[in-house]
Amino acid sequence: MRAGMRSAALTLAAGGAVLCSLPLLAPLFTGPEWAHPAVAAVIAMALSGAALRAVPRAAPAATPVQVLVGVAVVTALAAPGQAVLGVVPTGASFEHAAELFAQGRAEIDASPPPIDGTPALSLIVAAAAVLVALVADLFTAVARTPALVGLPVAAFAAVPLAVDDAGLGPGSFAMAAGGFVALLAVDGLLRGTEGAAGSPVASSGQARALGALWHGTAGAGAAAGALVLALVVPSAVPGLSDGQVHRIADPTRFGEETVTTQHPLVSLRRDLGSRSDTVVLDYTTDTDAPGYLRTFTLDSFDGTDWTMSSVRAEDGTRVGGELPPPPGLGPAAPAREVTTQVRLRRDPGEVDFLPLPYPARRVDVDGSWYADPDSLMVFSVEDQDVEPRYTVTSLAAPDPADLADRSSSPRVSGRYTDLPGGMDPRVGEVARSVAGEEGGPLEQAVALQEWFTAGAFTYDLDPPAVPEGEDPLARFLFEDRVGYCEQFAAAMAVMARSLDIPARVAVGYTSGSPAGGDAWQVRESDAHAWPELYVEGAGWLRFEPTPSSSDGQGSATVPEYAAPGALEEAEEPEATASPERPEETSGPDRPQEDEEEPEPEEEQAAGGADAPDGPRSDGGLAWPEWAGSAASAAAAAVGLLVLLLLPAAARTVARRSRVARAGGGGAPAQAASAAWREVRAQAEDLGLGWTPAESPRAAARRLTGACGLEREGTEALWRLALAEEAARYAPEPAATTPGALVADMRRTRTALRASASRGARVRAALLPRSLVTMGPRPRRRQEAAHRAGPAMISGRST
Amino acid sequence: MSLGTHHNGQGHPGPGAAEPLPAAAARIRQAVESVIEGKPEVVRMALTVLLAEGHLLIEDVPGVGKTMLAKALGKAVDCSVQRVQFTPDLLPGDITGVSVYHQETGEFEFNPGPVFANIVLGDEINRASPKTQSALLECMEEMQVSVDGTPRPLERPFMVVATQNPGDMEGTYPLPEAQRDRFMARIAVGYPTPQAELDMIDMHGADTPLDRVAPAASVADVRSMVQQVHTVHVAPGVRRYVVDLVAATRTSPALRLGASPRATLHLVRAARAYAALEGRGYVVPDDVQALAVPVLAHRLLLAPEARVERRTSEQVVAELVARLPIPSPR
Repeated sequence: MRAGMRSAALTLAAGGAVLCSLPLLAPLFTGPEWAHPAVAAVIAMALSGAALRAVPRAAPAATPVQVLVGVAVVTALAAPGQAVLGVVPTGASFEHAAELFAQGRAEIDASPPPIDGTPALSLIVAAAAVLVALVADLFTAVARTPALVGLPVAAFAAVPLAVDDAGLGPGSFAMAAGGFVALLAVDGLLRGTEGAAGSPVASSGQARALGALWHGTAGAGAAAGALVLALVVPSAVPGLSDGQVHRIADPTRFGEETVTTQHPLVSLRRDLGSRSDTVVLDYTTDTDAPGYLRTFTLDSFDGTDWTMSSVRAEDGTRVGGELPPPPGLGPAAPAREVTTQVRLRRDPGEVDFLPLPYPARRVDVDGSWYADPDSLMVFSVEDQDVEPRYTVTSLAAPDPADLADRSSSPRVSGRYTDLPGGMDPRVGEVARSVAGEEGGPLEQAVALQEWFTAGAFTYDLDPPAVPEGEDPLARFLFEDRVGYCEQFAAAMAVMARSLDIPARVAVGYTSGSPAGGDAWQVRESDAHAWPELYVEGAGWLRFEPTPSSSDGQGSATVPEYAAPGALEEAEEPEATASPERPEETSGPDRPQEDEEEPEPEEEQAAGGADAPDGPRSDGGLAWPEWAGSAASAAAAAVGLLVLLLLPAAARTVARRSRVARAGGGGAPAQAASAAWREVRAQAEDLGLGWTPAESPRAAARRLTGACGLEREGTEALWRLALAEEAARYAPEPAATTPGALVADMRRTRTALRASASRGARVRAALLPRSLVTMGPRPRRRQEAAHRAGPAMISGRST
Repeated sequence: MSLGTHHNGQGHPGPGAAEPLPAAAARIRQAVESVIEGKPEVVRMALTVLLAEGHLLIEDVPGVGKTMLAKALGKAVDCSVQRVQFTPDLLPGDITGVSVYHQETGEFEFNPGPVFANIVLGDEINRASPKTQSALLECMEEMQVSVDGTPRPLERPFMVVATQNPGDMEGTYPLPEAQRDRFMARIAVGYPTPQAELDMIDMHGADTPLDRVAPAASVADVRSMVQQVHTVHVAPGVRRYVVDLVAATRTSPALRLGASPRATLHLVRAARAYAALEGRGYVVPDDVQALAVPVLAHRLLLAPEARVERRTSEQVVAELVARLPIPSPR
């Protein structure tokens, strides 16, 4: 096969590999529109590059033409209006492109993935694809190191991984891996048809075909084997399962495991069911109606349980006084701030979440704590050995009047309305019938809350056990109607989500009981769970579906804005419930509206699996994550650059050292050897090959012939070869002027480089093969040869 | 037969004076090449074997100048040349000479055979009976002739140039491998190029070209050159290289019989002469590589598989040379 056709095939294979890796970005976008310009640009670049490379004389123009083609295609698709003939970009098109880039950035910042594939985002993707395709082509066709194409492809994979916890789809991963493996296979096949470089033994045509097959299979097989190993080994090694390997590589995920070591639900049930009067904490506050102290929120419902999705402890979220702004709070939010000084009575080592009033604006606490910007949870990832005291400044609960004329604000992440598939349909029906269709989310929420507290439900810390296989939610809502705060909060949150109101379950403590003055005391029996619903303009608001006072959670209070009728006429809130322990007087109280015998919900078990593949990352975290990934991408780029330049640097050091030895005043044999090793290194770098069976003069003869060196270079090369020959084999190598050797080295280098193609020179500079093929500097001459040789020969021949 | 020292009239120095070997060798080559057109490598190899005190086996089809080469070489160094045409009825005594009873003195007198010469040309050695062949080969190895229990040394330089038609021709007794081993090198002359053949016609049309060969050196010169060859340095690495190369022929799966230790000695000696001809005081691996095929190939027996694949021992040796790493400082 001609060299031109080989280059063309490599260019096409590189383009194919890049195309195959584009689906890796799919999790970031909805719909396929985002990919069209990128696909068009990559195809056009690959075709133009291949066409030019097929003609050897046009090959040097391939890369510049590819750049132009890429720019033209992107221009034609992104800003044809401002371009000449629709493809040649003008100043206006660049301005338009800059606008589109800014717009795309704003879109990325505005919403978490997946986002719509707008023209702006398509342009960004296409620009990235053009860059990656160009780099891949340079790696493959020019530098002949196609394995490095894995790096830009991995960059594609890194973006969705950095943004989204869900990982890559197996399909897109397999496709990208397949493209990469195919590229290596093509390269191997072509290498095989070129014949084993440096093999002096002529091989037959059949042997060459076999060699090509072997190279192709070996290259692709090695890549495929590495991929399979990377996928299988972590899950097969016991200590490495559970993604530990990948966590090590991803410092932003650090600490998430620590935070959730204790399953929230386990401690939740223990605490919430507690009747102990042990004081958990006490606090002083400057308000006479303190809010609840929230410890953490559960934001994910799997059909049976509410759980917490992972939170991240990174430097960007470290608590240093000010907390991130509360999500969704409109400009009309109340400015009244409440200061609370809390003293925990627990061993600080047990505390990994701080009980805080919501929304907290500022926390002053010793030790290393992190804030989740989405939920404003404050947590630590290690045991804190500090005084368990802290001061928190929070916003007072909004006035009903403020809520009435709230302004709109961005919607919260869609995951707060996610419900698993296979839910009992009655939940949604009841929610709609209770809340009505016409009211806003706030009115609907208040209606739901009233439905729970109206008397149909009974508060009991020992609810009847749920039979195996039954849906506890349906049983609570439609059959027993007996439970405590956990069931109430969970049920209301689920119903709110079924009405498309973002909801989550908060866990913490009620305000506790007054302890004289502005001091309050919170006991274990004040542990509580309540739903938080998101209302646009007001942010997350707590509701209280659990019966309070003596028939329920004793210290529970209904917030002002959620009190019945509060929205119509801003009434005074209900008095705080009496602090005495409630009597557990529970009676079987059948629900009125639902007489139908419920079926055991078999599908509940499968419900989790049917969950839609929605985005799983926290919406509020979008900005820091993107910023973090941008920073790490920049760091990775710098690291990549350093890595790319490392071989060149090592090669330069090696050459300097040889030049110094050749020019130094050492033994002439060593000087000549150093000079000749440098010649060999240059030849290997330029891909001219080197066989161990070649003597210095044989190598000089071959290089002279193969490179067509001009006279000066030829003479310099031969002088070096003969000097090396004398150094090796002559009894007393003739002393040469050291400067002459160095000058000859320089002449030879210039001549060899001049005879090589530009691609070979670039590769020689960036990826010098001699670093691999040639070991460290040689030891003393011929130690081994002395042992066996002379005894047999010398006897009769002289 | 003239065994005396000859000076060619150009006043070049005798054995005492240290004339540089390459200059003398170049003159000899020039003289021989004036007869053997277009075959510098063949001439060079013949001279190498002469200076290395070896014997040369020329294997080729008839009429390519085998005999001419031997005669021209003998004339160029101005030494005695004897030619023996080997035939199936040739007896050993026809080569070594016989003792004849002398009537007048009443004693046996030794009539030396044609082997008593500096250069013995054995034409078509494979046509003689094995017994006669071995008589010559004993002389070659021991440099002396034993007739009637009296050892008679041969004068140096002593070089047998045997020619042999390729083995697949009719009426031949191919040399057994043990006897081929005694030849330092085997070369093929090969057909001349068309231009050389044209020149040959012109040359042979006028007169006998051999007559024009002027002696370029004397026997004493040759002896002195042989002495100089002995001083050529063989670096330990190169010795090792030779041993490795010969050892490789013994382990190669393509070969049934590898080269003997005698081949090792021959190769080193030839390499010394080859280096000396280039005016180099030391042997380089390139010398060994250039000599590997002529010195080693005729001693080897191909394995049946290699024979089936129609490979030749020359190819096998060339492959070994191409694969064996040269001695390097590493």
